[in-house]
Amino acid sequence: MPEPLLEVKNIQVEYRSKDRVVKAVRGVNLRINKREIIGIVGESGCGKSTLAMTFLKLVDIPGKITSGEIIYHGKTDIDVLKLKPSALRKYRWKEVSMIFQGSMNALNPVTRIEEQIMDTMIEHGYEQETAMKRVDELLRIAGLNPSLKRSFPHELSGGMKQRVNIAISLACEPSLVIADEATTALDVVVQRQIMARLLKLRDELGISLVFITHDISLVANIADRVYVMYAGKIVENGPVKEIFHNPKHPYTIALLNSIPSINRDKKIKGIPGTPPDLSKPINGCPFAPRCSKAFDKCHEIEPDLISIGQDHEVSCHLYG
Amino acid sequence: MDSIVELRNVTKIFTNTQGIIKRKKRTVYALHDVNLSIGEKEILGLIGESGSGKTTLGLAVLKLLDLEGGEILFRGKDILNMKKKETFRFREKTEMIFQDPYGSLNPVQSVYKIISTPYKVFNKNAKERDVIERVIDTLEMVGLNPPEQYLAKYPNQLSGGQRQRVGIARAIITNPEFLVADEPVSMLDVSLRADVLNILLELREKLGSSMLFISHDIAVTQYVSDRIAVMHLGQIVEIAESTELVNNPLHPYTQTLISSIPIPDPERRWDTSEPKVLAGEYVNEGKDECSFANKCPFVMDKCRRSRPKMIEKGNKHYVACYLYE
Repeated sequence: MPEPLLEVKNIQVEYRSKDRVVKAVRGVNLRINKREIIGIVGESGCGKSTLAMTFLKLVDIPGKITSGEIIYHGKTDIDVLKLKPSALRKYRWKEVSMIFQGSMNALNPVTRIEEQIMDTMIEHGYEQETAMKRVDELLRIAGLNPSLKRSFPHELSGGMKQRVNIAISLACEPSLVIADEATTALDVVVQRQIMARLLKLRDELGISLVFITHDISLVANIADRVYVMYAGKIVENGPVKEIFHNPKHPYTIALLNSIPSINRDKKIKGIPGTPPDLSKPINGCPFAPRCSKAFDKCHEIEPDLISIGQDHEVSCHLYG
Repeated sequence: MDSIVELRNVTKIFTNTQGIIKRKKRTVYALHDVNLSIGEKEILGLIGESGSGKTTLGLAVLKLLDLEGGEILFRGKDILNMKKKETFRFREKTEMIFQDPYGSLNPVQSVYKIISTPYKVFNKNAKERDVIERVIDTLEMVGLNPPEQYLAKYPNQLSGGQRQRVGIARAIITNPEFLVADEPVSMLDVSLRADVLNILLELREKLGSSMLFISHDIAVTQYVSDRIAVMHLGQIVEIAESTELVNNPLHPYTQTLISSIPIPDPERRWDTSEPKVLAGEYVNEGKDECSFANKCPFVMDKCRRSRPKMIEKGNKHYVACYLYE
């Protein structure tokens, strides 16, 4: 029986401005097991990055987590959203860390990478000396030559900077690393190198990983379980083979039909229309206006996520 | 096959000065002795990592860059030595589709103004009524229906996919014979890419234009292209018919590239080993050597002594690598 590491219960996030409220995440339940690799996929604006930020309670004004609960099962169970600032600092990076989107620009340009990695550790209670020793090991784990530690970020290529960020994310030995579009801007060869590296880390260190991406092909290659997100909600989730070989939600099916793959002589088809405006109330299923299978009920009642098989859930009236 | 565009030994060099105290000139060969031809009605895909010179090549064939060497022929005419009038005609027959649908449309111009401008430039005496008709037809062709609804809109009222269609409409309104599409779908959401790619394929059927399709996404390139050319640090290392190139890559660089593409099927995952490319960052400094020699797992002495020539390995499959000589 897989042991849960992080449990997300009915999370809702809003972004508020003077004249409107955007409901970016509209009630998401999600579970990450120990040593598991999760993929969260969806189009831009579906709320996948915002959702990931809640795992670290990073949502800041004008964003607000309006309801829900996040339970982290470490040595003791932690209710993440109720943590006091000092406890939160201990939780972040020591338990859960993140590799940010566009993190090639997330490094300080005027500091050597060695210092940037050490700063992270010292901030979290490592001794100066231990931290210094650990830098070499971290760079090696991330697939970089430790002799590079005296470099400044501008002396490194995009792929190398991304590896520095991986090193920083692992600095305090977290149990869960969240990678938000971590390889989107990189070439395929570099992407494969970094992925191979991260998979190895799961095997060697036993960490869990969450990949947030719009690249469905990448998720097929690395994830154990997949969550498909649309308009701030999970519309389907299940083991990776179920999602790719037995997709149920019309959105998942359409998404899989819209991507070209090498040596697949199939005509690809786009999904008509655009995702709904999340600042306006949504009646019925948010995908109904773009769905070829929609019927009356779809425009009136929003479907709930229901179980349709081993660990496979879908929110669609076709199956309820 | 008749070619519409031909590049002969094209070389483009960029220089920049580095260092504040010790000033040092650095030369980068963005295009190093490139030979390439694009056929009538052909879509030629150009793939390679960032910095390999793909975009430079796209700009060069449209006469948007000066060259340090070689010549580029458009229907047999040297585009670099064209007179003003000839250049004007050349500009009418060639167009570009840009990568960024957000940055490449003027935000204060209406869709009508954006699309009609190139047409008016090349048809100075056109009546406004004819121009409107023409714009409407073009909008229909790129799938913006009903077209009348879009004429008065501004870019900020359109989605990314709609903007890219406006960009395509602007490029095809003059009925160009040759188009350069530089990463036309890389900034679009996955669900919108398919339609834009299908529009490009339809246009080739309807207008009979040829295209240079630049992309780093091999799956996308294979979907639209007849042939694919692979570029590495300013050199073309392999050219073949699309399916042949993907199924039977010969050059070690192409092999690494193809084996690194994720396939959307959990049953066909990468093997978990890291790809066998040697580490390091290099630029092409114009040496007479194979551009991949520094990273190639099969490198031999002669790879650094002189650059391998492009040879045919049957079935119109060309490769520049000593492993096959």
